[in-house]
Amino acid sequence: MREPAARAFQELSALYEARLRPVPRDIGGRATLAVVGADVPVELATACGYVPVRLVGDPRPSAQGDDPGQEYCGPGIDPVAVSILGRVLAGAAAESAGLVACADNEGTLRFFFYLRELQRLEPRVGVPPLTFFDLLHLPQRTAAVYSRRRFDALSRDLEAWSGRQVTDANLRSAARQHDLVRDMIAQICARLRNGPHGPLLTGAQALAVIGASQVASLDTWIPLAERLLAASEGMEPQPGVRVFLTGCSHDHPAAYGLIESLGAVVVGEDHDWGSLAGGPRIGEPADIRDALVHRRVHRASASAGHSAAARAAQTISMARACRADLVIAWSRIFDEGPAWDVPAQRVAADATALPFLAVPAQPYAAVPEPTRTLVEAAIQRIAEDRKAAR
Amino acid sequence: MTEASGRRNRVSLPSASAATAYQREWFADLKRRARAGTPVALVNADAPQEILRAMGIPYVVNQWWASLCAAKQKSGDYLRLLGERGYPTDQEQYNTLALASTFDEDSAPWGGLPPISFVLAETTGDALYKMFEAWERERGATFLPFARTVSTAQDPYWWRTVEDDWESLIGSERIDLMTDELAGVIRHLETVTGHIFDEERFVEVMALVNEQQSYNRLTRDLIATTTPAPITISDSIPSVMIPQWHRGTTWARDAAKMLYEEVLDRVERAEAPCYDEQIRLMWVGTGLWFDMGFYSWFEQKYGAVFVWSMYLAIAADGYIRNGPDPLRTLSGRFAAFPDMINAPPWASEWYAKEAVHNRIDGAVHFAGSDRRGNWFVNRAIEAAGVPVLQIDGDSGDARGWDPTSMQRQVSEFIETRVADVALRRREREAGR
Repeated sequence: MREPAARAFQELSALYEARLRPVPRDIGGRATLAVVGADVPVELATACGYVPVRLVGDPRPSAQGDDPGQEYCGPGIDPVAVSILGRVLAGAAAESAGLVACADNEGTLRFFFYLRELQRLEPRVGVPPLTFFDLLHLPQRTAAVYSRRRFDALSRDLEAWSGRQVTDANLRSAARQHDLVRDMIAQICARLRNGPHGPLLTGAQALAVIGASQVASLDTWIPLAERLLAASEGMEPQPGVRVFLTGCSHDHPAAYGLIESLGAVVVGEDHDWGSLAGGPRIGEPADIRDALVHRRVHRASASAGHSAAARAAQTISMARACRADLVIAWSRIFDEGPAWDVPAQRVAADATALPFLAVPAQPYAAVPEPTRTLVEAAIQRIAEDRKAAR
Repeated sequence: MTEASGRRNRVSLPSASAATAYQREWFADLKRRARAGTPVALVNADAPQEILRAMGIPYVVNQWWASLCAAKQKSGDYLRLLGERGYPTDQEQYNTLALASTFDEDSAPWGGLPPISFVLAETTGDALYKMFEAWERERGATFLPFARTVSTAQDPYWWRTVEDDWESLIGSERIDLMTDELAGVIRHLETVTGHIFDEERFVEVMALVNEQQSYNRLTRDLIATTTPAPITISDSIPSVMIPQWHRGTTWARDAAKMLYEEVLDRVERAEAPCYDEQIRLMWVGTGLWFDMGFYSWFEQKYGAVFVWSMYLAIAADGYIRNGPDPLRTLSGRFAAFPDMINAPPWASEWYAKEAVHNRIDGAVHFAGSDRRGNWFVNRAIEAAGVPVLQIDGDSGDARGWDPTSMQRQVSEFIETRVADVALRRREREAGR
């Protein structure tokens, strides 16, 4: 990557790396709001004057060598959620004005249950005020009505915390800002990962660029992303087998690092730290509050809360749009949804002759040797087929 | 040891024998009706089965069928069949056995499940929705899901007010949602099956359920206050759970009454499975269906009796609801059901309350995963003065169960942590 693309990328990458640091009290003079999960309506936070900062797990061992989240979570909880719980208990969100969790998957839900209960039993001063947004993903109207009521409850909580009234006008303004980010993520995916010259960013780079939008101020991220997009002519195409990554979400680039170390490039994914962050647009709806709920319910789906059939159709459609040579379904241990998608995804992939590899029950942010061997074999097979076809 | 030894429980109660016989007859009749074209539903344990009862649509409870498969030592084979179709076999084993059993074409228990037309389930966790959706793909059933919802305000001591004040305890949004969902499911079933939802019958069903659980409460309280315990959980589980899956019928109400009268009779005649009862144990978690004899092993050696399981206790505390609008009242029963046994603070505080109420000396917590919030449950029980031993396992998966090792673990627990607690309790109760 040449200047100025390299400089823009480095700055975005630095923002992404900062996700592992405690959430600051404010960014650019605006108080921060800690967010756990992909369902929290960040537009509401922005409308209240906050900078929403999404929390990630941190797989590195702590300086004290302990894992405060693990003490309260037995086996069966997504290690990302366990790690986030540990970080929050250790004070990672202490400076933020509050913390909003959601039910985007069982791990986030357990995080909320356990943190709420710990604060009841043995309150810690380093944990900020806590609330919850219960967005349901069932596609029925009944669920949407309920979710809207919960949105209004969250709105009241954030009004109380921030002292600012949430009006339709400031919600629309916030939605326009976040739509701009979503549009730019979509452009990054279309132009820098799937443009006519091939992928100009590796998957790991794209993960950092997109991820930075969820942990930094939009005022910082948008100009940097604009600079990156404008400098695309200075970027070299990435060679290798084109992989579409489905399965669990990745707040850490370990899986991308492995795949891309084996002669492949991740050109797309269907999780909310990657391509799915490019949607849904809110636009200019008649009822902004309904739209902020409904767009999230009906958006392109992550695994949890959505049917395997819908997920399989989406995976194959997105993989085809990315001109992927191989789909890898990567499931993290104790993140139970993705593994149940695999049979339907495999059938859908077979129907379109798209090679498909499932790697179940993977540890968080680590790659066991058998996984490396499995992934390497699949990538090599595609590379050899390609070579033979030429 | 990859498969449990399959020790069976000692059925010592006429109500248990009667329930088992009734279940066989009922299932044979269900299959006859299915062959004649009656649609059959599969329901998860915490789904509002009462609407099917009021509509006369027969149903099989997922967990009952799973317990039968496990008791017949089928879990390993069935999970293998599931795995061969690409499904996970290391999560939700208890909930997946019924689906897996449908892949066994010639040796399923009791001749196998009838064809399933509908599946009703609440969607706790990330796997259940997709697992029940697989019934659509694999077996052509229609899945009618109920949302799992979360309250932001929690009174931890729910059992004190839930019977009458469930709306304020659970929250109107959650009650409204489930009531709307119920109305939608009823309309769908009416349209598809031609069965009608009889409001008068539904009122009767709701009243019968309350009566049935009131008897269960009396039984729970009798066991809680009697030494030596008149029955063990090996005895109570079939007598409680088979009627539980038939709740809303006069048979189920009468079966609960029969159990209560049997237990009362045993109390009055001072009959007990372990006359030399020294230690009262509680079993936290789902039943050990593939090794029900495990529970009685500790009676002879230590005078340690498993007197408590959640099955009778949740029947006693978790089901009774009163209210003027029966459909809304049914929502009051189920909208927060997972919270009662699976999420802190409701679950943890309730288990602790039950440990005290039942004069428990030690708790064995059977949990392969953290779906109950194990640390919080264990903490609450221990805070009530009752030591806890957590052991790994899943009711629907005998593959890793090693009874010898588990007996050793529980024995050590009794000897090192429970015996003293029990001694102090006995001295306290004796006024010493």
